[in-house]
Amino acid sequence: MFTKKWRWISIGVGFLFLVTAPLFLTGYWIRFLTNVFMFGVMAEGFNILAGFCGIPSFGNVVFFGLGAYTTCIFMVQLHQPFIAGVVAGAILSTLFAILLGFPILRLKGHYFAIGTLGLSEATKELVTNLEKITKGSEGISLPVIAGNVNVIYAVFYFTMFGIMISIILFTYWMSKTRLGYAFQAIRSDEEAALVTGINTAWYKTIAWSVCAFFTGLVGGVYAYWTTFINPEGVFSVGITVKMLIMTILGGSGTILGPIIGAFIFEFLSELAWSSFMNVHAAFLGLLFILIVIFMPNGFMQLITQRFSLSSLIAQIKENRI
Amino acid sequence: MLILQNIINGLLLGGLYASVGLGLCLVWGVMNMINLAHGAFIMVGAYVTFWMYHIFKIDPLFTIPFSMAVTFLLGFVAQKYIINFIVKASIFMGLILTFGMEIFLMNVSNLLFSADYRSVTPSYSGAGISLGGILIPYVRLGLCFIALLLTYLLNLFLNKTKTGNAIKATALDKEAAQLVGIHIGKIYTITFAVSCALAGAAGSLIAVITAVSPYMGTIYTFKAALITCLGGLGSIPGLIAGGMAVGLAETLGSYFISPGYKEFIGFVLLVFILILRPEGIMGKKFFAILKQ
Amino acid sequence: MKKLFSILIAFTIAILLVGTVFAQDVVRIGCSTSLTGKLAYEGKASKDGNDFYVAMVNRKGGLNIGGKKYKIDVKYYDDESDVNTTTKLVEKLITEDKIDFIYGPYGSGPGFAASAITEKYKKIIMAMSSSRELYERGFKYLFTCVTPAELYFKSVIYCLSQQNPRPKTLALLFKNDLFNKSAADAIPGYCKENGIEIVYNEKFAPGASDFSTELSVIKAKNPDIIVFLSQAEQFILGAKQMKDLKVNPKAIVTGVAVAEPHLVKALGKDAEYLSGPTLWDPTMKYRDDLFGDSQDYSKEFKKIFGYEPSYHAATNSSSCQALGIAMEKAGSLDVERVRNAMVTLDANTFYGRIRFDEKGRITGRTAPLGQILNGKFTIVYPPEIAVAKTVWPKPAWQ
Repeated sequence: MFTKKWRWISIGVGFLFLVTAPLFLTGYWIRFLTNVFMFGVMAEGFNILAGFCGIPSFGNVVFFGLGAYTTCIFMVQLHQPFIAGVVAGAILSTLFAILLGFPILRLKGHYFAIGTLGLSEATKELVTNLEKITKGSEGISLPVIAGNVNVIYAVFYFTMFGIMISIILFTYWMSKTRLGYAFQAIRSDEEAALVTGINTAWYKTIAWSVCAFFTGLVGGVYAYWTTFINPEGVFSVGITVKMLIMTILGGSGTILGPIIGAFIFEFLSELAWSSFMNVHAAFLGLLFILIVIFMPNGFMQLITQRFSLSSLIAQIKENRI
Repeated sequence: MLILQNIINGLLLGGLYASVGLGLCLVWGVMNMINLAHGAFIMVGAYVTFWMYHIFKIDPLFTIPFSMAVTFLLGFVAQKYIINFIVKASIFMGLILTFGMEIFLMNVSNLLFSADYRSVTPSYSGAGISLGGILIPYVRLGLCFIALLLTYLLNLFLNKTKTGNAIKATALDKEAAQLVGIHIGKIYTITFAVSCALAGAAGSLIAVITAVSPYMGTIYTFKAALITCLGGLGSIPGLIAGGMAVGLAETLGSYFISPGYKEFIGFVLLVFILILRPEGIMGKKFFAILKQ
Repeated sequence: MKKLFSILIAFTIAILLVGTVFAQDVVRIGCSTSLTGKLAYEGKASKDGNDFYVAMVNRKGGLNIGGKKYKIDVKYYDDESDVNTTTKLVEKLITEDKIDFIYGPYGSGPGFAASAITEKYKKIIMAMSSSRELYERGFKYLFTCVTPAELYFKSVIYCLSQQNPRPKTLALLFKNDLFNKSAADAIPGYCKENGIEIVYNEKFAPGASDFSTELSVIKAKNPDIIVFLSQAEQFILGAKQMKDLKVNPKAIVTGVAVAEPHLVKALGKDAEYLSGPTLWDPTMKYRDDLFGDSQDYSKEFKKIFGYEPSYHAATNSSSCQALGIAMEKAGSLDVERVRNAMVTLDANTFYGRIRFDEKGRITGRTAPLGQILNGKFTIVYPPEIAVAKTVWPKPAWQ
């Protein structure tokens, strides 16, 4: 059933549904979907970095936080309009990535993962301490936008949706050009890639910066959407883990995988919340474990290949020791 | 005078970090996986000690074998029936799986024990040696001592026993180890179980030093990973050096700069050292290269 | 394939169940609180406080609103101590579960986020946050019964400054988060009023796990009073390290964590003589018709929940109670009428007199000072409600 024709049809239907959703869904579900789009963008960014390029970053939330804080500072301290703040946030995140890319991208594997984790924690601490600019632990509060609640929500909905579509298109374009091939070469074997003449440092920095750009962008939009940010909230490791899990759940290295992963994960969280209030957190932990054991290649694999019990078992055997 | 006290504080803190990092370093070096649930096992060890002290009034020091046994068992089961399924998969699988384990353990603890803060305060807490005005608390000193003892025992285990040698062989070269007849799955199980036992021991002592709660472990996982990176894989003395380095950096950083910049200093130190020596202070070169 | 389908069907059913219709004559209240995560202890205490009030009211048949009896029904969600999640859940409560009022989440950070949502939808929220910034936004539907954070130490510093021998110096070390900073920032002002000099004023990161350096530096300055402001978890560590380093000021003061029962259990004998402010104590003598006085409140609470209530529970109960009284006074559930009733409220409850200022914060409350004596937290100031005298100076660590 999951042939190419059906895939395009389902994408089309999905797209149509999402575009018209604000007309018939209530505030909570619009917020829910906006949230899914936001995580979709971040997961997709992570996917470009880790799924395509093989860079195991564990600190992407730092770009989210930087984007959010820059937007708030622009709007509150410098009295700039929202668009300026968001764009500034995205640019700052990208510059941050490029600058810090030089020392950090030289690390490999697990060291890089810990290095990036340390980066997000250190930035969180820095932001908390620079009170004059960031108001530290008090957090920054943006003015609540006056006007019809549903219209405002729809605006944020389509903004996030737009960003999500752009990153999907970017990933699609990238996967078909030299950039994408360079990334995949680096993922497969960095030294071999170096030998064939690919400037790995340069390409890794590009991947890292693109991820930073998009993540910073949604960080900025998030700040205005929620109207309140604080260091703990926008630099939280939990956000990075969610990005990671959504990418894996959907299928890393694929184009639509992370988006689908974002949808599935948020729906599952939703179910867990409504059904098991007391044990939902433990249930979520269990879910992570099950996903990794039974679906390491993600949901996309279910769609693109014929799903059968024997292939599942074969796959588990392959990863197992 | 004050500086001297702070240097001592830093070294004692380094001892704490080293004890916490021991298990993580072992797992990382042998299985090439960062165990994000390490903090949760520390928490389990802390609770074992707390309940034994609370119900049976056993001195925390003597509860260490029990907490090590409990965490050993837990780790054994976790590795054999859960983690062994994804060992050959990519680096992320290990991270997510152990993260899931951590969330699961923390929240089950919350359900069982509630989030009330507990602590073990025996009669000798707060007592210490006084050397010309410099104070060295017994409990902290004990922690350093136990860390060194465990390191020594681990060293003995790795070098003098057959299983230990098998573990070392696996760490050096998985395929070659299999060629000489080592069953990798069993080795991984033992390694992980030992690592969790070490975490449990650290947890027992931490229960005396600070507050015990279901969510206490996360911060220790991060610190353990930090000093393992810093000290370098494949080297236990490197771990101790890394622990001391971070402990000193944090205390002296707080003294000279500000208390609010501790994480920052730790991170800057990490990046600095890793740029100069990508394999860590005393790490062996081949561990720095990730074999996918 | 089959699995996918059944998941989809289960999911559709789940969505449908989410919007269930509630029974008639019920006030639907929503609450997003932290049952897991870092704030789990305080979150659960808050929930129990809410549940206790609801149980007592429903026991009497419910609230009497406009001649009809309304039972209260509270829908809870767990926000995992995550501010982003709080926002989502409060929105869900309002738009999906169609609740009438919100009992606020514990903590100033979550409270900030939650109130932004409720103000948008014009729903009244009883916030459990004490930081001033929340109430500076000109919101109309935001109320709280929690004493303002900047007042927490007013009585404390005054009382200690009157002790003999008079204290001259104070060291302040606090956790850098919204609530603790709000309370700590006011302390220099109170010290100045009372002629005390501040010799040390630093904040530590929320994730700090060691205070040996800071305490060594403080010890070297030999202050008369040390104020170590944080939640219980870090204060336990701080107290232990103070004992380790033999830091012996004339008083060790912390925030409201000092009144929490688990502190004494965790520190044992070492908890003796630690002092700090509290918002409520079972020895208070205010009365009302629903709970009786604070002793009755405590006894009944223990019967139902099996443990002695801390001030968290009492503050929550009184928040809910204030809202309930306003609903009865307004005679309707209409948000504007209830709001007017809240603005003009002047009620006497077991918690004391409840009146709100123009920003929605409770007025006229102080934070009495208490000290742990004989293993129990006892009020030592102000004299009208004191049960014992302050032990000053604090005896050195044993």
